[in-house]
Amino acid sequence: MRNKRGDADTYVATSKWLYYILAVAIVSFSIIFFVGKGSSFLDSKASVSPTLEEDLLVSRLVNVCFSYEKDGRIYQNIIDATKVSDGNLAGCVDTSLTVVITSLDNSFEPYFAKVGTGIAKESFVRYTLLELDGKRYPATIEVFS
Amino acid sequence: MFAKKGNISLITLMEVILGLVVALLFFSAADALGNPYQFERFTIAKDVSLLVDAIQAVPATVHYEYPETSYGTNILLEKDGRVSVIPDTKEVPDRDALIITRYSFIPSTLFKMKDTLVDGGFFLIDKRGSDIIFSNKTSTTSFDDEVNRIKKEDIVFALETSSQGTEEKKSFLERQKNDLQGKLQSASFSFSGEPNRYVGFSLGEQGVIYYADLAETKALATQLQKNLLIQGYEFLLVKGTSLFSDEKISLEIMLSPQQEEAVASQQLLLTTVVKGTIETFYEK
Repeated sequence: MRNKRGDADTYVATSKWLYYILAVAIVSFSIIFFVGKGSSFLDSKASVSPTLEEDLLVSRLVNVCFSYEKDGRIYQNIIDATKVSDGNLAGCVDTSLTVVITSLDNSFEPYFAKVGTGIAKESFVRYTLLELDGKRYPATIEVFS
Repeated sequence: MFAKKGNISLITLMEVILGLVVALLFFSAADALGNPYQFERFTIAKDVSLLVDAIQAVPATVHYEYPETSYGTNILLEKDGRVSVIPDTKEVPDRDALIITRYSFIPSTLFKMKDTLVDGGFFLIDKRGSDIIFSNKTSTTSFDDEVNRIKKEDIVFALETSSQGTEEKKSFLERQKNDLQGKLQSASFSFSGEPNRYVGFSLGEQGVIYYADLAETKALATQLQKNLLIQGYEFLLVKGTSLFSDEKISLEIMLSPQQEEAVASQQLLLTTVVKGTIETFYEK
């Protein structure tokens, strides 16, 4: 590393600092990578079906957030069209979500509700019923999350 | 390696120490990731998170008693949408707990939750109206009554040892059994009549206190674990025993090879600690 005895100190110190910075970066990256890989491995061994998580979310939307209620009874899997709003959705789920409820036979215009500003990465669809003006329509609820 | 003959350079020494620290970090991480209890904690975190999601999807009142986990843990519910399962650090420090296991659920402002830490062994989830409440089961059950009902004179002990292993190991366990019996008898516990409390000794790869699935035995095992820790010896708490059936009010103390050596050399006064714990426990 040294060419001459007189001017070697500064040059050697700089090289060592560079060496240590690189070493710390590489070792830190290795540890993070190792722990991350291990965590992913644990995660894969105890994987939860995405369908289950989707079903739980849709159940919450249909049975709690937008649920059709009459005489104190909540009707399962029926959406009350008057409840589909951004405000109701925001109170129900604390995450970015867009919900679209569409008639299967074009009986009504799609209903939208959105909360958050996140960009949707995935979507899923479930069948449901929509209560509108005393009538029930077969519909789909599509969730973008 | 050497600046002068016989003198190690300070920088080289620091590099060696740093290298050892890094190696230790890798070993710790590998140990934590390969720990079966860590995996159990992780699955419990997922399970409880899904349960919270499911409870939020039900338009009804819910009362759920979570089944007891096989390993002592605390479960932390965070209202911002996370469930963490952490080792029961109040009872025994766990070096393997490098990674805190955690899983998310979708929170909502519709349901009110508080940050709550509950005992993973006994906890309840209640949904009443818009409130979702986590609570310890021990605070609502009659555990204190159950223990208070037991009178010292009603207790008849039976001691057991494992029948496996070499003659030398069997003889070692038999000595512990006889020693404990003598100490318990001197503390006025009975060994005559139909036994209703059981204690066993066995040998294995690690120190474990197994306990029957009952509030009394778990509390006794927890106290014993603490007292042994004070002596400097760590034991895991695990539900179930191999020496006794599940119905019996029983504890099984399994010693690791190092603990066996400590007991043999009288560094660990095992039977004294066990006797002291039992005596204090039933004198409450």
